[in-house]
Amino acid sequence: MTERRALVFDCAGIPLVGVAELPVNPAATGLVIVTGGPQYRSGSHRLFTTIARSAAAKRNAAITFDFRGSGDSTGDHPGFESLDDDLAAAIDALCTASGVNRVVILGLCDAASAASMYAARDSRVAGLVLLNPWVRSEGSLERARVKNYYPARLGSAGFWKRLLTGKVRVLHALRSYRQQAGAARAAPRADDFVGRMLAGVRSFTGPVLLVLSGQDMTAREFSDLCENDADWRQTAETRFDRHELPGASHTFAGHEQTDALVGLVTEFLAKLDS
Amino acid sequence: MTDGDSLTGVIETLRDVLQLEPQRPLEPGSRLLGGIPEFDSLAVASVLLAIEDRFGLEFDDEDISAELFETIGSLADFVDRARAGTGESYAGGPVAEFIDAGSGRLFALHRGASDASRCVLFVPPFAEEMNRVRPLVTAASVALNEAGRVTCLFDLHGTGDSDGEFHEARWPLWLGNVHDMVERLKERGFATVDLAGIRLGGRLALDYAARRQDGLGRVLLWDPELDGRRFLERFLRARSMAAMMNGRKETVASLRQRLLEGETLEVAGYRVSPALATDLDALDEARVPDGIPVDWIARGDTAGPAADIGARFVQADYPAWWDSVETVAAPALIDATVKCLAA
Repeated sequence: MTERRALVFDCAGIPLVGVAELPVNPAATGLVIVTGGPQYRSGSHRLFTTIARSAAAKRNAAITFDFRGSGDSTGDHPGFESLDDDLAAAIDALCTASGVNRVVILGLCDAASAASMYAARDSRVAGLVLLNPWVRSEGSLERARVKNYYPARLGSAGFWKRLLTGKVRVLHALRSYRQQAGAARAAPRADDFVGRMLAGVRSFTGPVLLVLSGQDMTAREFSDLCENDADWRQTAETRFDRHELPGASHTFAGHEQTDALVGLVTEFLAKLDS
Repeated sequence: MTDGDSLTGVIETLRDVLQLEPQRPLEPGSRLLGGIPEFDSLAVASVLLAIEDRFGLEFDDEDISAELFETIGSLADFVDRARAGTGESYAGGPVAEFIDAGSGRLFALHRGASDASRCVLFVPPFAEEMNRVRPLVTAASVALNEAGRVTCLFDLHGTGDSDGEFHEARWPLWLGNVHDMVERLKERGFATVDLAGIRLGGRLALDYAARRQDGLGRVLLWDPELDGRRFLERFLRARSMAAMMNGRKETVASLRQRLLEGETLEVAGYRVSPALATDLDALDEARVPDGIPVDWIARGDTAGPAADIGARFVQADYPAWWDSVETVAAPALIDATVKCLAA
């Protein structure tokens, strides 16, 4: 039996709207789901609602919520680089409502970035689920395009036609690729968010589940970063339980992809609880 | 009603008002009167006022007794009860709840002051458009609240936080959801319920108003999609385009055929059943019901209403939010909404 409860809880004076799944006899670990980009708590095609309900079916309490300035919550959007207060408020809300005292944060896209930066600061966070983490800089996008997109297009007549008429700025892309490839080898600065993500993940001691979609530029950029940057590579190799879903889109659309993702998440929670 | 966060709120208020050290443990069992030296009678008043502010409550003097202040838990329980009392009357901030309806539980979010006699019920649009419009409904609700209206947003069956799955949706079932929400709001004392139907939700609002008008005030349409068949085709085109990008050919006609043959189709992650497709196809010509004023708000570049249904046409300048993956602001849409519904 699971109670589904609509919640309104405080974050720095702003009421946040959320929905908690509260199993009667909950497992030790709760799940706090954070949406990325402009999405609201239920997620594209209800992805997050589905994950929350599936977790609860396995006795893990779960919450979906709208941070300030998103979805049903008022206030000013703090931006994904400054979500600490909102994350803390949601964890408080889930812990109080369910009685659990440790949680996994699951984030998609820039919410995965936010979760990485937050996790080590809160002792209640026992694990992280990062879905297609957002690490975009101007260079990372160009690089992912050069590597993944342009080669696929080289066989297409349209590509060469657009290239010859100047519609594809391939030289520009290659040039910035070269620059960025150099820049990526330099240590990330602590003041940029990708650097803060790395520092966050490195100081976090719990397990990290990384799920990357095969059909997604954001995932490719993250994957490139883990390949090209020595620090990220080392972290990825030692810290991430990494899974690729080759057929998946950025939001894991389609019930096969959603089911595969749900399977990974519930397994991850079960492992933490065992 | 929320419950656990009353406790958190009470503890935080106590820390703030009494200037307690962060390391001092405060738990439900912690004693207040006699337990915390800073907690004198002056402090009691300050704490009560701070709690009123924080939770948007107003306590009666006769509700206040020494027992309330025995422990943190007893004070939090009292706040919980007071907040549960306000749930029905919509004092202060938003109230989120699940409402028992014919098809299961529906998520509902209420905003606005308790003394309003008129409530605006938003009827949501289809699939991903519902997600995209969410922040605009929040902005419109806040603006309507300031103009003295109470607002309610709910999730249709199989969408958002309501019960059920998307592929179970049928047009009559969704009409039933609108009915259950209107009735519930009337039971709670609103003399008049106005409907604000968004895109395909506009069609739903009109269809509802054509059937039942008891307690219904105005109907407002946000860029309504009145032609079910055309709307479905455009929705299927999203899948057809996605297939093309992956080098597969799926025409809208072939998708339609598969629906006709009884296949449930997944479009951008939403599972559309043949039954819902049939329902949308079968929608007849939309019309404005007798006796209900209908306003139709459309983007400024629209030449005129796509169909002359007898609605008052209002143009405003805002982006096509339903096509935008980024959050867009639409102040002109919000202004027009307030003018139509709370003038």
